[in-house]
Amino acid sequence: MMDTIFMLLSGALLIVGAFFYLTGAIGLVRMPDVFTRMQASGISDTVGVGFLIAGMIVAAGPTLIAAKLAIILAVVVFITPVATHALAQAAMHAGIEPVLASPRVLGLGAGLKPLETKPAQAPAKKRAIKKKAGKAAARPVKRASRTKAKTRAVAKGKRS
Amino acid sequence: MVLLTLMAIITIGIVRLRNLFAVVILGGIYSFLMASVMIVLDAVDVAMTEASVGAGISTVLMLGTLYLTKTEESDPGHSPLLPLFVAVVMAGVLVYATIDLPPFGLADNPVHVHVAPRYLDYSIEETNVPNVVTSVLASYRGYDTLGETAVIFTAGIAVLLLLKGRRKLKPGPKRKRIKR
Amino acid sequence: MFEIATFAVLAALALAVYRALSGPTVFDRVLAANFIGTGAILLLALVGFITGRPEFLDIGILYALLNIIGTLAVLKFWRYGDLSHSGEEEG
Repeated sequence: MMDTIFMLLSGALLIVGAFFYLTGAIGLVRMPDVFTRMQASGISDTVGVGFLIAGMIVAAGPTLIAAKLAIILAVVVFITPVATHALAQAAMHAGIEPVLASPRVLGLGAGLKPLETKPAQAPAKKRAIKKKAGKAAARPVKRASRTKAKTRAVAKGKRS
Repeated sequence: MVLLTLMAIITIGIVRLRNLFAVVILGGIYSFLMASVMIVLDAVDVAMTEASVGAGISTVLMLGTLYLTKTEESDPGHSPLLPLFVAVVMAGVLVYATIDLPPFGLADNPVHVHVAPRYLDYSIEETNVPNVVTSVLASYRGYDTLGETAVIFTAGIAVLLLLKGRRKLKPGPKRKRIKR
Repeated sequence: MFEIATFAVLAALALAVYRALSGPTVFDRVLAANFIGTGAILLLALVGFITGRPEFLDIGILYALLNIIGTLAVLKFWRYGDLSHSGEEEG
């Protein structure tokens, strides 16, 4: 009786942990830039690992194995935030700017695209406004400035 | 199987990438995957060595090497066909050699038939060492272990010398950068 | 249950490998390496439970410590070794 309850409990914990772990991994692929990816991997490193190891502790019972699992859980829980914090700090130091949440970002998925399109938009709009008083049509100017901004973004990425 | 596929993908990535920094990181990932494969194969000690040496020390040493060189790999000056041919032939020879091996993990393989029982049965009366693994490493294969230790010692001394030279070089460019 | 969790961890590892290969910046790769280190710990524990011999969890602790050491070494090197200029100064 007790055994079945423990088995069911550990199974449920394991499945919840696996779900969260996979969610974090999908976020790791789908998120648009480094900082949001860090946040996504934080899900798996806290909730996912926590539930998985809790499930294993329940399955192991009160033995040395459970103690070792608890040590692993403590190490992971205390150490991953440190690593992620250092990572974020290093990324900021290297000049990577976080892409703030915009409605465009949500539909775009992975890759550097938002990082390129976002600086491309601002100067394009500004120049379009400036040129509106003049004679040039907005569209070719926009495209030209976008490619320029793209090269700038690429150069920036290379520098960082 | 999945792990091996991932390792193959990582290897292709390592070959394709030109940024050596990323290659070092991918090498660390490769070591972690390799250690997982070793664990699945039930060779825990090898997995431990692989993780600590591959993912830990060699990553740090590679980074130390990267400090002395450039991070971008230069283009090779010759065609990759000859090295590819050599590698393919070598891999073919190795695969051909595995055909003759007995099936993995079988109880009546030659390894389990006479060598291991010999060690298990006679190690105490021959060496008086309570642990069988210790007796094999330190007594039966004593010269082998001595040679390994000498090699590792030499390598450690070489690495220490290289790193020491690097540290002496280090303050120069750094101070210049701060001044600028 | 353990099998399902193992498959989930393997799939997560595959996704992280994808991120490590295609990551636009080095930090993505470092993040993926960190993730894969954690995944290796989980895989070790789960495989131990599946094969019925969960005695090798000490190595999991070792992996966790190696993971943090590797990550911090890479980051510190990146920041103070200053290799981001593709070796302009150090040549």
